[in-house]
Amino acid sequence: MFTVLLQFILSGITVGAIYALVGLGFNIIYNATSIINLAQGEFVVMGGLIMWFFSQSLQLPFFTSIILTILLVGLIGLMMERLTINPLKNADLLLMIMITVAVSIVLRGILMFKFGKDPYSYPPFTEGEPIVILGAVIQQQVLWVLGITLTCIGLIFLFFNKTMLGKAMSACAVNPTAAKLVGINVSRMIMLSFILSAILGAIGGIAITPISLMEYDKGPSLAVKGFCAAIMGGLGNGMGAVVGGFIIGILESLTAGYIHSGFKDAVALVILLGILFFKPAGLFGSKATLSVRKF
Amino acid sequence: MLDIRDINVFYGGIHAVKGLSINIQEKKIVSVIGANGAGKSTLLKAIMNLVPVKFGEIYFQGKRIDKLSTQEIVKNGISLVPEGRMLFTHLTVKDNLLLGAYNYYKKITKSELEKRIDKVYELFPILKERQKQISGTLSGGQQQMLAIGRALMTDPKLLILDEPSMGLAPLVVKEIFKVVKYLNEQGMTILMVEQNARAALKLSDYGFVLEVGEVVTWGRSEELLADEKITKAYLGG
Repeated sequence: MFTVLLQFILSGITVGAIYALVGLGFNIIYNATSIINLAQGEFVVMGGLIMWFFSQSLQLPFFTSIILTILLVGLIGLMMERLTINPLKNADLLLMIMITVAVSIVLRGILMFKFGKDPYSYPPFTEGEPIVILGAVIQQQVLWVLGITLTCIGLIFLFFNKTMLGKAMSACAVNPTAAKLVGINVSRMIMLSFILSAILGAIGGIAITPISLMEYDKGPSLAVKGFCAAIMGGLGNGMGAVVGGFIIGILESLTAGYIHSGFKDAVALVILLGILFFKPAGLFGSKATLSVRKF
Repeated sequence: MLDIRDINVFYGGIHAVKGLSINIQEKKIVSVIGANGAGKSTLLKAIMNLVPVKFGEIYFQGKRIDKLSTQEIVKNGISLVPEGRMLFTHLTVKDNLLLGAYNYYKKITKSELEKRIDKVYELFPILKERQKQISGTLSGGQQQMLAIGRALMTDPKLLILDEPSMGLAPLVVKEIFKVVKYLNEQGMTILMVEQNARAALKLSDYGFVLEVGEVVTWGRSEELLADEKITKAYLGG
């Protein structure tokens, strides 16, 4: 009984880690630009598929593939910002968000064209027997996913709270005019925010694909869940998105296990509606967090 | 030093600055006064290229700057203390000052950076006491001091202040004006927009009076203060 529960929770934490990364990616761009980047899920998909391409199709060494995948997806994030967001600097926010939807559709089309509709996977990072804790079985890749996610989250927090570049980026979010006046290149910071969240997504995709497979059209559902995570934690609140991601992952897994796997995807949406109805500022937000964005 | 030639600026569909020319000489304090909506703040924003100059030219130390980005203008030695202070309210006092020198990280040594911060702390000792405090929790006066301190971190030749006394107690205003005077004595040129016109003119060498986007009169501050028509119209009698 307990073992089963533990097993569900563990698998929930695993997908939750990816939602957390997507949610964090949402926040990074939102904090720099107030844009909700709905192509965030495609970054994750590209991470998985491009990693497959380098490591399986081209048979490149493991580390080389990872580095190349991260660089390539980061580059796609950069191009997305420079080609679609940057030229429209002063456009309406809603228009910008629609553009990210368009970008996600285009990216999905390209992915389908290149990879087809089949799911892809590659071997876990390390081979070996699963670990058994209190009867629950943990694949080694799960530990990789968790380790990598937590490391990324830690690095992001260090970046925003301890480095001058990170502080400058957060300054752009709080007051872009003042940021310009102290000589910060706001446009470059926005570009950087897209690169950073593309890379975060890619890392999530690279780590999760050996467990859950990756196909071209997984982006929107990842984006919805990451978005729920971000909303749940209070949009703009980095740590909130991380906690939200894990909560949604665990609830999803429990629903699939105890009720029906068909209801799994509804969980995030129900949570989203609940939050929007009863606590629009998010679990960790007060009214103030709606205006102050902080990592 | 700053030569504004016949500029026209549109702000939110309004022709806010109309063919305005102002020449600011080095090491002077210059005030721009006028009623609300006269185009004072727009003029300052145009100098920093926060709003574009549609027609006309701006020269700073002989170099044309009206087409440069804000970042480049700051690098050329102009720094604006914006209306409403615009601090990075989520960061500490010290971080605000450090970000003030953002352009200079790779160019100056750490000790030079510390020296600049110490200079600001000398001007406003309260900021040193509060250096670890989140800037959003400072009092209004302290926030204004920090905003000025942050602007000084770029080591400007021309410091522009937009309504520095707004919402502050008279005693605090006095202290801030004292620092402005001191900075000027150290060789810094100051351009100031003020609602508190009398106090501003008392502090400054020259004054320009703006009305619906145009300079209606200008001159030495003493003369403006002595002119009955002006004191009546702009200084409340």
